[in-house]
Amino acid sequence: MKPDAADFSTDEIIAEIRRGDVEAYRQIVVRYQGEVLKIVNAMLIDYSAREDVVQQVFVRAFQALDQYEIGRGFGKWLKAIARNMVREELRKRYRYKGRIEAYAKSVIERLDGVDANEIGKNEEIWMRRQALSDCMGGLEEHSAEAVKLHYLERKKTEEIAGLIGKSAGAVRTLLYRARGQLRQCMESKGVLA
Amino acid sequence: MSRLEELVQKELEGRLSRSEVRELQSLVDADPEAATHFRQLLDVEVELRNLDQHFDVADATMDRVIKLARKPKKKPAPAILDTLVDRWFYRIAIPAGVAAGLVISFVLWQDGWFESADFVGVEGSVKVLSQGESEWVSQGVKLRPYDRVLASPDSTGELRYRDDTQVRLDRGTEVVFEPSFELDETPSKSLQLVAGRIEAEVAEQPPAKPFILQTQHAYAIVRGTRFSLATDEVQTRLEVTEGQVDLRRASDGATVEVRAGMFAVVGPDSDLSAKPSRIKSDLIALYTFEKGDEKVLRDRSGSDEPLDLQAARTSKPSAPNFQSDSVATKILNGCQESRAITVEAWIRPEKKSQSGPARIVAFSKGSASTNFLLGQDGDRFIFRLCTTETKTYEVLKSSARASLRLTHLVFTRTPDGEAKIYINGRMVGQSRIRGYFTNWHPDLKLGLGNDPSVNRSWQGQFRLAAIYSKALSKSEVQRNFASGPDQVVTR
Repeated sequence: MKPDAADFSTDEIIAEIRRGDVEAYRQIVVRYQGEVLKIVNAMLIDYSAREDVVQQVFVRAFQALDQYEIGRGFGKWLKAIARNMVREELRKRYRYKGRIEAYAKSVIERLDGVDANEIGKNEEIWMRRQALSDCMGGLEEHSAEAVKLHYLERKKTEEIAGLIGKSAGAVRTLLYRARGQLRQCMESKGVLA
Repeated sequence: MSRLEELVQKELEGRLSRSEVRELQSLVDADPEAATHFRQLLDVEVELRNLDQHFDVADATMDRVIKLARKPKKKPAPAILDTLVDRWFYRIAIPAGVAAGLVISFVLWQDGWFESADFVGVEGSVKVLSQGESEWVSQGVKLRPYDRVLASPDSTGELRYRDDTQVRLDRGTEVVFEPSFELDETPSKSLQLVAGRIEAEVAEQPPAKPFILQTQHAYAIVRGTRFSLATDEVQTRLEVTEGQVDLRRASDGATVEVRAGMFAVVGPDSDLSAKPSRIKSDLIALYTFEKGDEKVLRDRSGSDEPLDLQAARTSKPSAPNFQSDSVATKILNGCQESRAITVEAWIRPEKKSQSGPARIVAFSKGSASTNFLLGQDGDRFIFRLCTTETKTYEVLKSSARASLRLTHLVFTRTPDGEAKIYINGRMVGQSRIRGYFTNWHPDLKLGLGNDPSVNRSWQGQFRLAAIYSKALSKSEVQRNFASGPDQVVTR
């Protein structure tokens, strides 16, 4: 019986794919999509565009799979592709979408921070996550609900409006008030530069 | 919430207007504290987005990967070529070919991605920003990739491509010659509409290479047709006169086919569907109360000389007051000639009962000199009309009461004197007002929200006002009602 792909190391899965089992690539996507998403999140683009960029990263990695050297660390190789794609996408967006320069700079700095820190393994980032979790506990009920539905459940403002019985405009107001409160709270905990 | 937070919120949602972009940039540049605050808000947003536990693109990604894997791979070049490359002919021919390719690519790039356009007509002043420099232009200017073109609020311009495709820029319109990289389609031409509106007549495009017009909300994918496209901070509106245009929502890629006589809107409160356009024939004045119209209310009918209205002093903030500077000659002439009229308004009254009658649309000078007047008298809407058979005027009153809701109000009068008043597509009053308009006062101005000469202010909000030199039929009134107040695309 063929062992479950989850038992395989990433390199073994890559070898399977190279032997022609394209479907095995699904395991790669499932394993690494969270990490790639964190890099793409640094761009702060809208939700639907974010999904597309993550997909493109995996498609590009698949096309270049022959160039990956077994044993060199697939995650690192994939993240390098992701960061390059994000930079390309940023260049396109800031050139064509006319967003503000300060925003572009800030996003590039954050991306460089991602490069340096290897998200998820850095103590400072862990502390920031912990602080966010604490600060979310301090939000008033409706704001906390709106934040939870928007960021954890990925609901659009119109959907949230239907769920909590408020207008879409009121939900937007709740969300940006919540962001402001979270910023203040996280700053007071010393986790925002 | 601070102004900075509000602007950052909009930035994150991609909803900043150009002036707000400048405002946010200057806030951040001028104040280090604001810059820190700004960065912190972005940091919080990233952290919040990282909370997402339901992100899963495995299925969608695998669909793309499997499709890719099924594509036949290109065959490798036969080995004989390797030996041929060593020969002197190929040593010269290959570098020469590469150099020629580079030159051709450079020329094509300079000339536009696929086609560039020329200015063939400018009325007023149009500015071109090219490679960091700006100049006011007249006709005959060739435009280059990334050039930004700005028509001033009183000016229009016309662009023409080599294949005779024409794009007319309305007053205050801004476009950029930018490629659209974000679609699967390879465009033959590409233009970004930043703000304002354009009307285009597009020649038939090469197969699978459409003309792509991009706004911040949508893509219009055009293969050869006539249409109008308008955009502002909130929405993008497309109206098709001939043929068909695909309108694709930028946020999710949803697409609607818009055929001749239909329009579609991409905006926060709009479902993405094609609906019948407003009636345009015999339209002589049209006011759509758009952002930027606060001081000068533009006539967007596109008929004759525009009859723009100036904002006049008002006693209350809820009492709009716009008056024409000059005599409303085109309304006088148009209606006298046709012996018919329609006055239409999308309004939201501030009070159920108003007196005066309170003027909504007035072609009058006090009560003594009235050509026509659409107003609110108590809790009813009334229409006063002067003809050769009336004394000063005849009055038609609505049987239905005014409400505080958004209301579509229309008065029509046919050449044989049949007068009707409609509220929200339903006829709520009719009578016969015989006679001609040849006795209309020739020196009257047009007013919206008040009488041009005496204070009879109406309190409420306008969304649209239109005047036709014909009587709209019931089905036409209902079509305009179905189109809603915000879907005007044509100038």
